[in-house]
Amino acid sequence: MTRTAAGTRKRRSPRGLLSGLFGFALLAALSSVCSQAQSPTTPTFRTLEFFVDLGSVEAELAAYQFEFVESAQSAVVVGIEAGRDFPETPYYDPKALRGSRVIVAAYTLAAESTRGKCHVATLHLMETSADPKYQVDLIVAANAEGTPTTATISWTEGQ
Amino acid sequence: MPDSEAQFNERSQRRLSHDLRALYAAPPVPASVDEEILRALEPAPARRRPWVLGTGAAAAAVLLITGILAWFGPPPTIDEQRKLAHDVDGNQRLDIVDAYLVAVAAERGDAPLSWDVNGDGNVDVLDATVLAQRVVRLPL
Repeated sequence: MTRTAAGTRKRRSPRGLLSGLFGFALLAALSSVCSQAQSPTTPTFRTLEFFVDLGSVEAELAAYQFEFVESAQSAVVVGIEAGRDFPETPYYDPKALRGSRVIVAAYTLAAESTRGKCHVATLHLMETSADPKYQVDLIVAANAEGTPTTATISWTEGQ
Repeated sequence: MPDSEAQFNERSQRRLSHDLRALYAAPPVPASVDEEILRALEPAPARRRPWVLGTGAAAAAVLLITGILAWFGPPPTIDEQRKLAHDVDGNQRLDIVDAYLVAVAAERGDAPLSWDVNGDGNVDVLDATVLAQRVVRLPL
């Protein structure tokens, strides 16, 4: 019931009540859609380039294996490709795609071309949150004789 | 006369005992020997500390248990045996280096048949590929 300008009360029809409720629901739905569109969960894509450094330009890299983990459940792996300095396409479990953990490994029989600090692989990630936590562990790096050597792994953001 | 016979026997035994004691009389023990025996029976003045003994016993027990566990420990499971079946470099771990060594040997043509990972009867680059795929496999 509403009050008219003259101060008398007027009963609202059911149709008016229903249209009011419908309008309210429509506004609520629109505001929800707009807030989702502007939320920080909008996925962004990032490229990480991984480098294995043997510490010497003379040292040859014949094989490497590393594990990458995103521990905050804020990103998933969506693609893996070879690096610029390692000719072989890396091996990985296809189950790792759309997951947050992957083991990447490759070997080459042409190790004379891979010396020093090598860009071995590139990972493409889809981040669903602004605060992903990346962790990478070098499992093994070996020279042309198949002997594990001391090496470090690092990553930078690619283009 | 049983009573007198018994008395006779008792007298005879006593006499025999007396005569034998007189015949094989033990020489007197010198006092110095007694003193020596008594000194040996006394507790040692500097004994081992109890905690040293306890530590030694604990270490021995730990060594014994470790040895028993190592000797009678559980044998490797079938999965572990299968996983390490192609541990080519023998470092008790399957990694990409094993695949690399298989590939190198396959290329040279001197790979032993025990490195036939896919079981097709020869060792070639496919075995290295299968091994490489195995080392990157994620657990379920």
